[in-house]
Amino acid sequence: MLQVAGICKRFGSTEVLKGIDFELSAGEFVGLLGPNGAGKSTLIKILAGVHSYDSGSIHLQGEPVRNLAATPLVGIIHQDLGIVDTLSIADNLMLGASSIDKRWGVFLRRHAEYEAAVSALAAVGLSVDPAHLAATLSPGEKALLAVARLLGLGAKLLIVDEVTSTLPPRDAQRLIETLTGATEAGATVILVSHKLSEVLAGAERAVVLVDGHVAADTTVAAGDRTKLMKLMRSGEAAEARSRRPHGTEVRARLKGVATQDVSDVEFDLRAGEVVGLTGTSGSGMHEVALALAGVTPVLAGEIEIGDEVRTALVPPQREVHGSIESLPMGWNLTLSSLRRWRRGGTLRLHSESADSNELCERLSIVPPDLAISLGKLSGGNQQKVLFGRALLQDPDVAVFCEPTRGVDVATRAEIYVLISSLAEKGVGILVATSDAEDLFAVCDRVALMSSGYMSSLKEIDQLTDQDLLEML
Amino acid sequence: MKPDVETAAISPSTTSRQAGLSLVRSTGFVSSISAIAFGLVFIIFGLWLGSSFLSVKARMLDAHANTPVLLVALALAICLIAGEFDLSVGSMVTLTAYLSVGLVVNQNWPMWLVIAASLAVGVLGGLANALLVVVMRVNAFIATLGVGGILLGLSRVYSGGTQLSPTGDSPQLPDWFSGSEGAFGSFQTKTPTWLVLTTLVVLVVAIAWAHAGPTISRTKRVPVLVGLALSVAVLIIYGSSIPSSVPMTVAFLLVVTTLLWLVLRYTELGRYLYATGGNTEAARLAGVRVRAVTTGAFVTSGLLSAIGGIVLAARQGSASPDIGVGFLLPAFAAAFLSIVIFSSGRFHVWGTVVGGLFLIFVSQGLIVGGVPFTWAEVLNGSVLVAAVSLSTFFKRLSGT
Repeated sequence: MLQVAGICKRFGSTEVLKGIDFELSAGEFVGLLGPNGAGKSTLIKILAGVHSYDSGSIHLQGEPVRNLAATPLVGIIHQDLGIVDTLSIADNLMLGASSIDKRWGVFLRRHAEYEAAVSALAAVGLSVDPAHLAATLSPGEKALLAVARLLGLGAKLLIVDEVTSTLPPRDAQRLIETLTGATEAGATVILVSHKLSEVLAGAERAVVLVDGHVAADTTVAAGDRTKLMKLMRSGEAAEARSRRPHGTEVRARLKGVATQDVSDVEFDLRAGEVVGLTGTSGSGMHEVALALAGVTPVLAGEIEIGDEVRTALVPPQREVHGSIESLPMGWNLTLSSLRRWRRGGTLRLHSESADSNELCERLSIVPPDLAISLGKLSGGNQQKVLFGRALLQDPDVAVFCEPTRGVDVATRAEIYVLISSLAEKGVGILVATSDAEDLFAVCDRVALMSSGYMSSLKEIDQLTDQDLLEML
Repeated sequence: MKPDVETAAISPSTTSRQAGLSLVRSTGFVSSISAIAFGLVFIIFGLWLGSSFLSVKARMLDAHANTPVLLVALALAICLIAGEFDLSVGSMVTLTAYLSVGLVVNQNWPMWLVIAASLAVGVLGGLANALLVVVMRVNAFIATLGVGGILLGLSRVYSGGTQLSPTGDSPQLPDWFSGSEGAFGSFQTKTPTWLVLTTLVVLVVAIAWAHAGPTISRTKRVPVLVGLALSVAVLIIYGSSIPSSVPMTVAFLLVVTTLLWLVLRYTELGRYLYATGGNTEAARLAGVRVRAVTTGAFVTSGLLSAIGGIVLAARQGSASPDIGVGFLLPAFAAAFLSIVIFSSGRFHVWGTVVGGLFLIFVSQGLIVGGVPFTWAEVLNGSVLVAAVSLSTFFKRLSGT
């Protein structure tokens, strides 16, 4: 069906893909795994025709192709699903299907479309009225709708790119079951994920990318699972974590905290320790983090935190919640701590930039030019700027959401060192991440979030295999 | 994952083609172009029209006549910096101009109370906009359009839809406010020469000081030098007639602009305005009270528009129904020109004033050169579209 050979890609001086080879036969369900930054999304973007590649070849059903964008045989579902909320479900199914015969060549045959929609939806196990707006569907149902649409357009190869990571576990499971059903009907599926458990639930084979190359291409039979679990924890960044003797002083105590999507969260955050929360992004772990940082209202329960305790936050989605890309990097850095440079009502700009320059050097932000727009920096450097913003607040409690999302391997290591050194200074740190590597690299105690509930915290080295399987 | 592609584009390039591209990409080049364009306008019109264009008095008269428009442009700039629109500014000018004349002529209020009342109306209008946009989350475009309609309607209700000016037996506007030489609104009233000269020196020192620190990047030195060279050239060409020919209104505009600039550059509030406009959610999560900041922007905008209305009343000594309606377009054009001018890639108060003057001089030059004055709106519209396209284009080039 699909043959990918020797794909290499570099961005500037960074080699992101170092020769990717894999094959796919018709009817297979393959999981494409790997930690954040391993090159998964670059590979998918190359297949989708978003990026070009430097060398290598792609064959589809034996024919050499430049990428998979032009052919209706391949359907790619991205995280945003491509569903238009303000159209009806039936109209969403028809998006991109131009060849329906129209009355007098102009008018749509709404009845025929409606009936076609009902059967297309039934094929993916959705029993909803196609006349309703797509906005009425749950995220999981929208994902199924996206599958139905692509199958309806004649796709034989489905590439599902990190879609499951934004779905609640039950919806993710339903999607995977539907995809399994589709392979039985003859379709071929690539499920891209950084969660081992999801791939194990549906795929017959797993291709693991680590640091730009294929680290494993293996069946998911019981014997191979241990190997896969090891691979997913690769890098063993645990080196960055020194065993910190953490104090007993409680910096923040969450008592039965509930927000809009979270209930009954309870734990203590002690000085000098790093608590890790993991789960999918729909699991509520980010809400817990944002509530602790004081930016999401707490509806029930209580967060006990001293009045003079300073909190700092690195938000989950850099582009949406963190970076102000049009403004200078320096302004982004100091935004939360301008008070530091205020004397008699005005800001001392010279001392602000002197301090910022020093921080840039310490975090090795490239380019170290305070006046340059933040948007011109790479993702990794933008993330460092957000960490810089948090550091300048001199926090007692630091909340880091997805600290290594979309950063390269080198920056990832720097961020781990940074978090560890903060903890050594006695800062209480909460890390909410969907990337298991973060947990093993820096966290002392971890818990799993699922559908708004939190499991109890466990010391990182006392996790059982079952815990690991759920978290990875 | 997001690769370091942008960083790679910034690093020094080796081939000459790339070097040329990176020159175009540097923000300094863009702003130098705008400075050069400004100079070119003077040179071209100077060569074409000679002394009738290069006359200090004529250009000062332009600036004097357009002080209210430039105040409105500043109002828009503040809103745009905070990421919002305010379409009610033109109507606010009309209403406050009517109030400034009418409360004296019809109601016989003392002038200080009239000014206070007009300013209060400006603040109230801003609060109304903020209430709709910040609290009720109405789209700013629609909300301010509606509020603008209400304000314009109120001015009609108050005036009965006719022109309003003092008559022989009605109370008169005070002499210090409007009238012949000596009144604030008169072109004949010049700012004392010593004050202008002192201010010029202070400004030059302040600019030098502001740019001497480590905040200035290499790319900014070019425009600063070009700007200084241009100012020196202008001073030499015009000789010494400038310091003695600045009307009160223009001096007032420069004071207002300086105050706004100081707040934007040297206070937390200024930084928060820019942050809110850049990415509201990110600003909120970084601890900025974005709702308060947006409210402040709308109130400032209303206040500045009210000041524009008062200055307009002082200049004209009367108010008429369509007086502020045409302000919106040139004011928007000036505010958007500020993105291109001075290279910052952001809205900017000095850029707004310079951009506004640029627009006014170009249209006046064309009119003096024989183009019918009815073409002014065509020009304003074209410049607005061109400024926005240019800034978008250069932003894309520089990879933001």
